[in-house]
Amino acid sequence: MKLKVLAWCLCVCSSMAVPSAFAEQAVVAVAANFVPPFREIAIEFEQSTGHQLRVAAGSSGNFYSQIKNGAPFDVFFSADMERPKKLEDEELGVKDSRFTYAIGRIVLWSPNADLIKGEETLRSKKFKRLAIANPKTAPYGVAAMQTLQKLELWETLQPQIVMGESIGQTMGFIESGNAQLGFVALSQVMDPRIKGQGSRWDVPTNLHEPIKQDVILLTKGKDNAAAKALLEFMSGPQAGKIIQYYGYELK
Amino acid sequence: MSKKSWWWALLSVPLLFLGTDITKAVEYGELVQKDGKWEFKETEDPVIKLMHDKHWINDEEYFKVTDRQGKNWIEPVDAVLNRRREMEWVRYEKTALHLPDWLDLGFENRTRFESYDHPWRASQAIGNGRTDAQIALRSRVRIGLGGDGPLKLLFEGQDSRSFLDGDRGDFRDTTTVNEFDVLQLVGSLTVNNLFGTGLRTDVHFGRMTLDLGNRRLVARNAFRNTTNSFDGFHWQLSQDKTWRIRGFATQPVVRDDTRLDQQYNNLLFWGTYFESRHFPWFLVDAYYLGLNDQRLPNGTTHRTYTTAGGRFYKDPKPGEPDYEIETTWQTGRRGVTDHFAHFQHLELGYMFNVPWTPRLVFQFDYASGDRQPGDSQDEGFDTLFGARRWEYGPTGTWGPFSRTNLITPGWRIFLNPTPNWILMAKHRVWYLAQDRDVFGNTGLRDQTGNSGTSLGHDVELQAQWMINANLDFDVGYVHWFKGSYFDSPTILAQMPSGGNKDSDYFYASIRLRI
Repeated sequence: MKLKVLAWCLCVCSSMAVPSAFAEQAVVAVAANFVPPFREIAIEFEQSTGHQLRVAAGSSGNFYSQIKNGAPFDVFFSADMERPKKLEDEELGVKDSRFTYAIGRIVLWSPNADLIKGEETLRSKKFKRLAIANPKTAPYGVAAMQTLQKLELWETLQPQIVMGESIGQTMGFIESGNAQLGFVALSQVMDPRIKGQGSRWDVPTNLHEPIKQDVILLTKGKDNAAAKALLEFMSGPQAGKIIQYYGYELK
Repeated sequence: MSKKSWWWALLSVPLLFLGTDITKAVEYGELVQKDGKWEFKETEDPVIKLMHDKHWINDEEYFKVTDRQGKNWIEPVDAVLNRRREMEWVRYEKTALHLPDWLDLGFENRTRFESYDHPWRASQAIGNGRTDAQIALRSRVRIGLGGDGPLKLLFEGQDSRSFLDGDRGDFRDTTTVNEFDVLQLVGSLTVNNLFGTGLRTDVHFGRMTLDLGNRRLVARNAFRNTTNSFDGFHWQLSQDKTWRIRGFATQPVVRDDTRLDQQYNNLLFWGTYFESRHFPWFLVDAYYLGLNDQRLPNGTTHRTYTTAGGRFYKDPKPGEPDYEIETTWQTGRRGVTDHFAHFQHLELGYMFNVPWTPRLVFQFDYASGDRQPGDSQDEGFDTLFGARRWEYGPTGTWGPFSRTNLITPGWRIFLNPTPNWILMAKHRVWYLAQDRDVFGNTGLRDQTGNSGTSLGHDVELQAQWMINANLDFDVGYVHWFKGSYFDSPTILAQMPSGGNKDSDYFYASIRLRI
C-alpha cells in the first residue's frame, strides 16, 4: 500500500514538473539575420513566461508569401518595415501591433587586418572587388548603396562591385576571398566565429536610411497568449540587452 | 513485498523520469504545406537538442554546433579530395566532450549482411545451390587538427573485416577484408585568395583517398568494404564553384588484409583533372591519367598506360531532361603487348516534376575487351581505381560486372517519396564486348569464343532511408537471369556446380556515424 501511495505522489510530482496548463505555443517566423540573437531571446522568454515557441528561420520575402498563402504563423519578425506594413494593410496582421524591434547597422569588413582604414579605403580603390547585397532584394544592400551614393562613390566603384543575393551570400563572397572587402551586417561580424578578426569600418548611421526591422502580430495569433507575451517581451530590457549585444540598435 | 507492489514500483519509474525531465519549449523548424494543410516540421537535430535539454552542453556550445551544420561547417582536410557527404555529419561526441573547434573527431561504423546463391567465379568451390553469406563490418575513426585554419592534418583509420566467410569457396579478398589500417594521414595547406586574385589553392601531402569526376576511374569506395588510397601529393586551383584544376602524383596503396598496407616505388599513378561549371546544361570535365605498374619482375603483368578522356553532362532537375556522356581512351603497354582500349558511357534522363519526383534514366556502356588472346595487341579496358556500384549494381561479395569487356544497355528509375528516402529499380542487359576475352574479374574465359557473349540480364531493387547524416539504412535485392554464356560446356567446366543457374543477391546495411 505504501508503494501505491509513493507512486501516486510521483504522479503528482510529475504533473507539477511539466509546463503549466496555462502555457501556450506560438509559431514564429524570424528573418535569417535575426536568428542568432533570437535563439537567446527565445530561451529567456521561455524561462520567464513558460510559453512555448516554434521558430521558423528564413528570408522575409519567403515568409511574406507563405503568410499570404495561409501559413499559420502567429508572429512575424521581418528584416524590413515594408512587409509587416503590407501585411497590416492586407488585414493579415493585427492593426497597431507592429513596431521596430531592431535597427540594423552595416559595416565595411575585410578578413585582411590591414585593409580597412575607414572610408578612405573605399576612396583609394586599392582592392579588386567590393561585395554588397543586392539593393533590389536586401535592405542591407539598399543601405550599402545609399552609403556609396552619399560618399559619391557609387558610380566610380561600379566596375568593382559584386552583388550577393542576400547579406549571407555577400559575407560568403568576402570570406571566400572572391571579394577583398564588402558591406555586411554588424551582427554578422559580431558572430563569435568572426568577432575580432580582420578590419572593419562601422558605417556612420547618417550615411544611410535606418535599416528598421519590424515585427507584427499576425491575425492568426491575435488571441494567442504566447504570441502577445512574446511581443511584450521584445520591448523589455532582457531582449533589448541581447539585441544590442549582437550589434543592433534599439529604437 | 507483494507482486502487485512490485508492479506499482516499476510503473512509477518512467513517471519519475517524465516528471523530472525538463520540457524544451523552443523548437526550430519550418512550415510546410502538405495536401493543402500547413504543418510544422522540426529541423533541429534531436540529439543535439537532447544534449542541450539535459544541460550536457551550454547555450553557447549549442548555438555553435547548430550554426556549424550549415554554411559554417568546418571544412575537413579531405573536403576537396572526396565527396562532402563522405565526411559531413554532426560530431556528437565532439560536442559532448566539449572539444575545441580546431579538433575534429568522428567515428563511423557500417554493418552489412549480404548473401547470394549459385556462385559463378572460377575461384569458388561452393556449389549445389548453397549460398555464400557474409557479414561485412567497416569501422572508421577520423581525427583532424586545424579547424578552419590554412594548415590542417587528418588521420583516418579503417578496419574492414568480414564474418561467416570461413567456408571453402566463400568469397573473401582485400576488397572485403583489410584489418586495422591507415586510410588517410594527410596534411593540407589552403590559400583562399591567391595573390589577391580571388582564386583558391590547396596542397595535400601524405596518404589520401581520392574521388575524380563521376568516380569511374578513381574513387573513394562507398559500397565496398575496403577503400582505395594513395600516397603522394595533390594540388588544386579553383575559382569558387566555376572551375577547378587538380593535379596529383602518387604511389597507390596496395592492401594487405592482415598486415599494414604498403606502397611500391615501381607502382606510380599521376594525373590532372579539369572541371568547368560555366554552363549548367554543358558541364565539362577533361582528364589525363598516367599509370606505371611494374611491381612484379614478370614483365607480362606490367601496366604502363596513358588514360585520357572527357565528361559532358547536365545535372538532373525536376521537369528537365539531363544527360551524361563520358569517353575514355587508353594507350600504352600491357605486359609485352601494345595496349589500346576505350570506354564509352551514355546516359539520358528525365526527372518528372510530380510528387516523388521520379527520374527515369536510360544508360549504355561500352568497355572494350581483348579481341584475340595471345596476339601483339591488348584491347581490354582497365578501369584503374574506379567504383561501379551506382551503375552496375552492388559490389561487396556480389559485383559480377566490371568496367571491362562489356556492352550493357539498361534503364533505371529513382523515386523520392520524402527527402530522406530513395527508391530505385533497375533493369540491365549484359554482353561481353569480345567473346574470347575474360569476363570481368570472374576468371571465366573461353578462348575459342564459342560460348558467345550473352551474360543475361538483371533486375535490381534498392531502398535507402537516410534518417539523417548520422544514421542510414540501405537494403537491396538483385535477380540475375544468367545468359547462354554460362550454359556453354567450356564455361560450365570452370564454374562451381550450379553456377549457370540464376543468382539472387540480398543485402541489408546500417551505417552509424557519430
